Amino acid sequence: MDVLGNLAMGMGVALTPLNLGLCLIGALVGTMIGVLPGLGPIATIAMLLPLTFSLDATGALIMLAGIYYGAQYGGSTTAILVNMPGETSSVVTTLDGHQMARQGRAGAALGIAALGSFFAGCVATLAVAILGPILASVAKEFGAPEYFALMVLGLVGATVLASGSIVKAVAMIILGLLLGAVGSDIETGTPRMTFDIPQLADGINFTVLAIGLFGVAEIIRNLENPEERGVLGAKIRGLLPTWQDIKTSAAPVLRGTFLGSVLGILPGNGAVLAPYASYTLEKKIAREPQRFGRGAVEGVAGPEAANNAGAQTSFIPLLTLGIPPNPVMALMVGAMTIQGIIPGPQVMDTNPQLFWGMIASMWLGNAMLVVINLPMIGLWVRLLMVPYRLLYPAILLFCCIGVFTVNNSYVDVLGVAFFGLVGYGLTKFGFEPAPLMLAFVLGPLMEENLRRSLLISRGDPMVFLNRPISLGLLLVAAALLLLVVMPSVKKRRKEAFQE
Amino acid sequence: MPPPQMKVPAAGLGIRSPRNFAGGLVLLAIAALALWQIQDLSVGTAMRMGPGYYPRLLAFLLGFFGLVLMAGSVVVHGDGLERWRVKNLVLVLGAIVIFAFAIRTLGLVLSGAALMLVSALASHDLRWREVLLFTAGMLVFSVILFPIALNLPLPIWPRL
Repeated sequence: MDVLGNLAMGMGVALTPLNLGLCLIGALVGTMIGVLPGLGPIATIAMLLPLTFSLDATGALIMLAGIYYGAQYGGSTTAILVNMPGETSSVVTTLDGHQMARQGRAGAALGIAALGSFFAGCVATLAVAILGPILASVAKEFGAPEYFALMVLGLVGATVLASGSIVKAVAMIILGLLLGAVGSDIETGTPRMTFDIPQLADGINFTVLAIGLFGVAEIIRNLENPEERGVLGAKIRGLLPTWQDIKTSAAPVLRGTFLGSVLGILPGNGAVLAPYASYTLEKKIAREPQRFGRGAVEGVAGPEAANNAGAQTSFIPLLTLGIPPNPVMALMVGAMTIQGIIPGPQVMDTNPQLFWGMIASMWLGNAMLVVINLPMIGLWVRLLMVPYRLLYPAILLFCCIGVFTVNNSYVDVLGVAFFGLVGYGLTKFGFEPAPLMLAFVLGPLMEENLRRSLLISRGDPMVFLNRPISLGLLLVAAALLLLVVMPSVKKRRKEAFQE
Repeated sequence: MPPPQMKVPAAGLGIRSPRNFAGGLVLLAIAALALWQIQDLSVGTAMRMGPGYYPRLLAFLLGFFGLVLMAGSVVVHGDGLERWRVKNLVLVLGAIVIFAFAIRTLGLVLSGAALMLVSALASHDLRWREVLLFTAGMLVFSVILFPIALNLPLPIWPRL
């Protein structure tokens, strides 16, 4: 079969000592930074990006993927041991994972999380390998109107999944698109909204925006809340879950993997939803739902599997359509662009080594996480005990070095301070920066496709409704928006985000 | 624990959700700023868009949503304004700005030390001995990692 042949080729690429080493280092460093409380995968990847600059494209992406999985897994570790989720997707893990830790079963919780994630990662990698080529061939039929409609759908999805007010989320999307328009006009080269700053001629650098909004602003916010962290490190005994745990977890892991894989493919950050969906499902079908929230192993296994599966399959829209479904993938786009690769359906043909090598390394990265993390838990625990008052200056240092080395530009570092201020200000007014980041990356692509569509149609906006695929995508987007505005869903959505 | 909310002086104006009102104002201000920046760019037609078409569209949309938020804040009760911790903000951002201006001439060691020490002042319990030792350690580590091991073009010492 074709998929197997391609996977074998990918393995050949990923298993070279250099790439294997990069995957390992990525997973290790990613976990190390991801474990630190208050640092999610977005800030972690943005910070560690400079590590990959001296590598070739394949090596860089393999390492970044490793960093991403590592950061995800590190977030779960923190969620279980400290009850402090580093990111939204591990919020669910705190519910039962931390309870298990309190009962002295931190080891079992960590073990189940690792094994569940590994299983989900294997299945999702296969899904990427099988679905990727199919979707890419569909995507080759896409014209400008279809791309535009798809991005609209993605942004609507991001609005729906943002917590809090819809009006505010839409406003953040528009602001992101506007920031994406800063820089030279694609056709005429006229500078737009550059405030006569020459360094803005190429637009705002996405690492600057990401580190400012997600790294620096987060630090200033964390400093407002006095630290209260009880690390449950001393209690970790056997890391392996009991046979009973594994038997109880098998079905939730399977269901979580399925949910996560499906949600991860959706444009508009469906992966964020996966752990919530899995937790809700497990609680609903459990024989004793009252156990949930008191250390039920299913409440760790299902969401962790869903989380990892979603993380994996969210690569599909990126690799096949060139459209990032969430801010993390948006960072990947940035990393690919730095390496001179334009993500899209053509990557698979023009650069099969990179495409399949990356897919193979996804699986390897997952395997490595199980192998390295279980024995290294002790180290992560010690890292967790470093007080925040020491951590944050070091994080700032790495952020600044990282940003400076991207372009060797001190203006970029000033930009980090500026967007740190913006990010802090936005949260003070109740705006969430995640949709902004996604819109920022999609912005230039959207403008290009909008202009091209209207050029083909001679200025007739009906072009988006006359073509079946684009009409379908826009209808789904409209339906999503309607759903959220409906009062009954509104209420349930509120509950879901509160949990 | 959420930071304390300010008692709202705007209550007299019939504003029921000061946070949304202020947020809407901010959006309006950003939209105005963008429109001012692109005022000279040609708009063109839908078929042949000029450089000003798309940003102008977005700026108007942003301003519109700002107005929606402000209008809503008169009708629906909502959160008060949150207090800004100006001291932390100034220290952390100031440390970054110092680093930005110092890195090319003073090098990684001095500008990195300035960044870490100034930002450390924002901590609510500051222990100098610990901070100094840790800063020294981190600087040694980053000098070995970035300019040496990764070969990134960062000056280590001041250029004289």
